[in-house]
Amino acid sequence: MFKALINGDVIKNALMGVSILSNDVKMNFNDEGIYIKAVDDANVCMVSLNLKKDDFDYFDASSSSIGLNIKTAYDLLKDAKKGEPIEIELLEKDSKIKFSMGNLSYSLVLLNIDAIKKEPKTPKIDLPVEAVINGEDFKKAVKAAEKISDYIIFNADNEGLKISSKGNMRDMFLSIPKEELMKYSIKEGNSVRSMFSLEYVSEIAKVFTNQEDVELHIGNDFPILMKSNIAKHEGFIEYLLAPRVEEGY
Amino acid sequence: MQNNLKLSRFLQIYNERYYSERKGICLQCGRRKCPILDKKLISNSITDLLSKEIHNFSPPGIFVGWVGYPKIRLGPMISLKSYKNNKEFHVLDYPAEWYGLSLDNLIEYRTSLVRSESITHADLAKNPDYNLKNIQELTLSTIPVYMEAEFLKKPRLNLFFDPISEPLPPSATIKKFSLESNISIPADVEKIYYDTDLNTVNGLYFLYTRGYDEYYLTKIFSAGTIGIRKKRRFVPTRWAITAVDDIIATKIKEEVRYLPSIDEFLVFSNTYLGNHFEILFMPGPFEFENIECWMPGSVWSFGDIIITSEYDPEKGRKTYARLQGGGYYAARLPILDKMLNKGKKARVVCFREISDEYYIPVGVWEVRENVKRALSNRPLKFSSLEESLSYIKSKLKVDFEKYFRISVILRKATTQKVLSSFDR
Repeated sequence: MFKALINGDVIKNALMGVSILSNDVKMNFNDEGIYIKAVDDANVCMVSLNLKKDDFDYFDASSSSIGLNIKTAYDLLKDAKKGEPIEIELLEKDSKIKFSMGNLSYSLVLLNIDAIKKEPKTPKIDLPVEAVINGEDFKKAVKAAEKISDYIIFNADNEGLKISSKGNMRDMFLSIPKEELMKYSIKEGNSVRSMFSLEYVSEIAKVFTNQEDVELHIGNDFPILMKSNIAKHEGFIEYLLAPRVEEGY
Repeated sequence: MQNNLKLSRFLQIYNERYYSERKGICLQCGRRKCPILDKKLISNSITDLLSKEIHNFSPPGIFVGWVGYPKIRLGPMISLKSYKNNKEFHVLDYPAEWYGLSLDNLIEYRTSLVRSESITHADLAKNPDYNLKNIQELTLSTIPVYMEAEFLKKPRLNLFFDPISEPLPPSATIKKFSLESNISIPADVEKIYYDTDLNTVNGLYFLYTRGYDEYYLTKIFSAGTIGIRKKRRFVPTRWAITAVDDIIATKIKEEVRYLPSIDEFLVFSNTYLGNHFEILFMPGPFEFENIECWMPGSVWSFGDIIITSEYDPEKGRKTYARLQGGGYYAARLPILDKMLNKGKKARVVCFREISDEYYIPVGVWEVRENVKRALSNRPLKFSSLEESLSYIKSKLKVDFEKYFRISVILRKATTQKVLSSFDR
């Protein structure tokens, strides 16, 4: 059983955030909220979405899981008016999920849960740097890097965070001193550098555009964890993205 | 695309003049055989068969020219020679059966046909007159048809080798044409032909899943016999070949993206007509890259090694693959078809190395059949990308660094780490 009412902007952003990596996902409900975990086909980026009970205007669910084509669900909801509440109801008998906004409603057939790729295991990694950056600034840095190359480099040391990209003819460099970051911590003696594909980071930046802050956890040639609160309380979406390395064939 | 075609026509004329001055014996161009001499020999062999009136059984095919579109030159292909059985007639216009033939044999096949022409408007396909309807219906036939044709003048022998469609045979403007035998239309095809509310994409895919191949579908699409009534039109043959390849591949891609990925590295190989293919299947989402390398002496090399790459990312591409044109689409479709049949998807890099043995373009069917043969061969299996690339490197003549530098997928595959490699 699942029935909930939520701000349309929150659910649209949440569904978009998952759909950039995966089409078919397993959506889990329990009395505390909903969560989804998925990885892209290339096993390069993992997404975790958590929406807590308090993030909904109304929430009633018992423990269960469904298979959902999240891209189609997002396509159905993306034209909802800004801030319009959306009601979500699981029609277990018909094996469908129903989305209602005002007097308009859509229903979507659920997928066979056994046919959906297993939820990925999160690698246990230790990332020595944590920086919190404004969502708009993050998007600005990514947009600037897109003009230069197809990758973005995150550097962090005792002075702060540096974001850069290098092309054949031009370079881009953005330095944010630690005093200007909302939060910054680095394990002593560490200076880290990791490079990531903009194919992924650009899509993720779109999800973070309207967020006040984006948490970045960075290591040295290690995956980056990017996290943001996308709902009014504790709900969040986070991405773990594997790095690119420079050596080629 | 039109600029490319103008350029290719210009180069053909330029090359012919250049070679003519050297009487075809010098081979200073670096080619193994002289294309001008070839043309001359072919001309001599069929000149006696050309006349103002031809009555004969012929393969059920038409040719639609692209010059001047939407005012187009269109007409059925008529056989100059007589054969004992239907199959021999059919092969004349059916590239799926041409695999294994030499360039000389191929040219002989094509010059056994006359390309009849009359000027018409592409839009008339939706409302054809008696003659156009006859032409449309003959393309649907699966057996040879008996045609009587009278031309304004004796057909002119102007062989033209096109990079996309098959070599174009002698042509003549038609004065009178009639279909003098029954045609045989399969029930599935008849259903699609008369269903004027079914769109082209669904119609083509329905027939493809019923076992009709790209060559047949290209003919009926080109003749404007498929799709919603008001949108039916004659489509120039060279555009139709690429369009059908792309339409079917796009439909197959919708299914392939839901398949599980392969878990090993596979390499398929084949060589035909101086075109060597090494096709690498890697684990991952469906992505496709076609890398063509024209070596000195081949059709489009102009003395240098020319390497081009066209890439289809996971999310699909929205632009025409202008660097490779029809060859890119002809290679992609059999690869997608293979994945659908095997129930597994992969990230694919197709290497095509073209040597000086390929000195006359014969059309993109050569790419399609070459790739199909490669995929029907038993693949070599490797456990890592490095091993598979070392093997491919040993099979290609051109320095592999050149391929590597241009490849989007190889650069990604060798620089992008995966999350599972960080599991402790």
